[in-house]
Amino acid sequence: MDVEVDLYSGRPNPRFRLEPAAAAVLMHRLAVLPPLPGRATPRATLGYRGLRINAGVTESTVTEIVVSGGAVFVRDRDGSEHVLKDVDRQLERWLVEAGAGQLDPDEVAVLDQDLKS
Amino acid sequence: MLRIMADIFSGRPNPTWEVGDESEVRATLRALTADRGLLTDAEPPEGGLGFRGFRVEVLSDELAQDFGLGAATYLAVGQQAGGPRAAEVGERLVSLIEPGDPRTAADAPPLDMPLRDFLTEQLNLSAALESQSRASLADQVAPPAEEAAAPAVTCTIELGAFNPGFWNNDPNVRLNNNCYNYASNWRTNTFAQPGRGCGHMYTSITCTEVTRGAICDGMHHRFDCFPDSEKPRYLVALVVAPGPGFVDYHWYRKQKEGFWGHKPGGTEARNWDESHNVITNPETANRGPYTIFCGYFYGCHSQQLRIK
Repeated sequence: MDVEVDLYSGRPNPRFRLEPAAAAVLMHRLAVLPPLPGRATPRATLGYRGLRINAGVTESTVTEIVVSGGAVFVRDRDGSEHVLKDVDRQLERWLVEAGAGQLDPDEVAVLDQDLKS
Repeated sequence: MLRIMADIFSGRPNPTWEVGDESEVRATLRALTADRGLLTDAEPPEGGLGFRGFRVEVLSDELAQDFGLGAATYLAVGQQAGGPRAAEVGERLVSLIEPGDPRTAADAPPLDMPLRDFLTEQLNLSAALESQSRASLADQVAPPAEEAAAPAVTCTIELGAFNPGFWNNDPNVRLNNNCYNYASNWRTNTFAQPGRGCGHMYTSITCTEVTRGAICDGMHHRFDCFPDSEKPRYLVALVVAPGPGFVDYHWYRKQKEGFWGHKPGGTEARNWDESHNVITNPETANRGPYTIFCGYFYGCHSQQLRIK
């Protein structure tokens, strides 16, 4: 799975790859997240906004996952969308840790700082 | 406090401005002293005509001691520059001009945005000359001999209506077009980069480099008018996030309705800033980490066709 860090406005966003084992863990984590009640939208600020995951060709029904500021926006192949709660941004944190080795250390520091706030 | 003089004119008094904010002063001195090879005690004797450099006076003894400086230091730019970072540091000094600041010498140009744009433009020109002279010592290019005046021209431009749906309704369009696409009002679906279209993309994220890329694509500095054949000629603004850590550029475009629109990366186009206020002035809008205002530019039709 390819993960795009939604960070920049002008420059191309950094990306990292989740190997099949990590992708499987992600899908398992996703399956146990509770729904998020009410309306939510991904962060739309200047600067770090979240992570966008393209599920690619898998057996899963999920096609795109956006993890942003405590919410997870899941779009299925049939076009339906649902929003889950990322308690304490744990899934976002796990993803950043999973991709840290493939990212620029300065960018990882920006993400870590955001996750602390 | 700092007093900065742009050493550019030969007849008129040079523009001089002061910086009082303590944290800004310290940050500026840190940037200035990061590469001491760029600094001299006085201006080089062979400074010539055109933009020669900046004289920076530290008005506090304590500050001067903290940064190991004398009462004044000189940052040469252009062909006398002490290194390739001189223009970048100079640009930071220019960005400290506070438009409307009354503290300027009699007969010197007023401290306003046209002056800031003019100095940035001249600085870019000096940087280009410097890099030319480094590339080929045999190919010496003289700086412009005539003393330029602060811009006092009126250019005809076009302002497009704010139409966020054009960028937001289709997820593929939204994700694959960025702030430069929005400023150019041209969807390439390539996340266009300044200078990529003309084959000379920026090499670092600084005002100087991103400006160079955009100019190479066909943009002009503000007040450098385009003919009617280049319609639409949009007014746009460039800002930079200088880091540390987060380093990026961002563009805004003035809309027909009077406010400014922008599109942060793959997110939705909008006309509000980080405080959720409608943007009436990109210089004073809340721009988050994009703290350096580089200046205003005009886009044009050739530039639209060139961007990639």
